[in-house]
Amino acid sequence: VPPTGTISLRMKKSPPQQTEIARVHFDADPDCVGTVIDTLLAQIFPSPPGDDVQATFEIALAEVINNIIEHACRYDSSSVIDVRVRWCPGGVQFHFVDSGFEMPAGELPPGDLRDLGCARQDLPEGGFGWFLIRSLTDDLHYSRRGGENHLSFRLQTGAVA
Amino acid sequence: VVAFKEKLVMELSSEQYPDVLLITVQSKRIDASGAIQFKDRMRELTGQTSGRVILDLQHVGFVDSSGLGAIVAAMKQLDPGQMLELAALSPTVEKVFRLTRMDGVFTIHARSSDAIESLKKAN
Repeated sequence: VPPTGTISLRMKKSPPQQTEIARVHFDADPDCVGTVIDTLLAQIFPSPPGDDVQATFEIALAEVINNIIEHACRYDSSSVIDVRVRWCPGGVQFHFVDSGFEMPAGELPPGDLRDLGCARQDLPEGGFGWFLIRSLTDDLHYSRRGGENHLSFRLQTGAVA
Repeated sequence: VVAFKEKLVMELSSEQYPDVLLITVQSKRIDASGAIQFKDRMRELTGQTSGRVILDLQHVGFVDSSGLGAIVAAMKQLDPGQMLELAALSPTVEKVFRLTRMDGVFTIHARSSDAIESLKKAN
C-alpha cells in the first residue's frame, strides 16, 4: 500500500489540463477533411451529442477547414493545419493555425447571405461559407501573427439554433 | 493524430418513372472534394430529360457550402421550368438548407417514395 503522501503529491503535480480535448495536425488536402472532422467529433463526443449539435459542429468545422485549404493554403497539400480543441463554459473552443496566405485586408469576410428572391438562373452557387460560419460560431476571432493565420471560435454544446 | 485521405467517388444512380427521373446519391458526402464531379454526373443524367427530377439524399450525411452550390448549379443546368426536388435530407443537410434559406428554393420531400406515390395516384 503506497503512503498517502505520495498520492497527494502526484495529485498536486498533475497539471490542471482537463480542458484540453485534442490537438490535431493535418495536411491541407480536401480529401482529408471528412476524416479530420470525424476524428475531432469522436474526441469531443464519446457518445453522439444529438442531431442539432452534431450538425452545428460538422457544418462549422467543414466550412472553416475548407476555407483554410482553399484560400490560405490554396490547395498546397504540403501545408499543415494545426487545431487545438478545449472545453470552455457552455461548449468547445477551437484554435486553428496555418502558415498560408493572409486574409484579404487582414480581416474576416462579412459573410452576408445574398437575396434568393431572384430568377433561378441568378441563384448564387457559392458565398455561403462565411455566412454559415458566422451563424454557427461565437467569439469568432482572426489575427495574423508571425506569418501565421490564427482563427478561434466557440461552438455551443447546449441547445442551439 | 494522422488523418487518412479518403478520396470520394461521387456515385449517383438513377431510375426513370413515367414523369419523374429519380436520382439517388450513393455517396455519404457532397462536399468541396466532390462538388465538380457531382455537377458533371448530374449533367450526364439529366441532360436528356424533360420531366421532374427528384434527388434522393437518403445516403448523404453531409453537404457543405460547395456541395450546396453544386446542387443549385445542378438545378440551373435543367431546362427552364423543369424542377429539381430533394428528398430524405439528414438533420445536418437539412440544417445547411435551412440556415442558407435554400429550403425555400427547393421542394423538399421527407422521402422520395412519397413524391413518386403521389404522382402515381394523380395519374
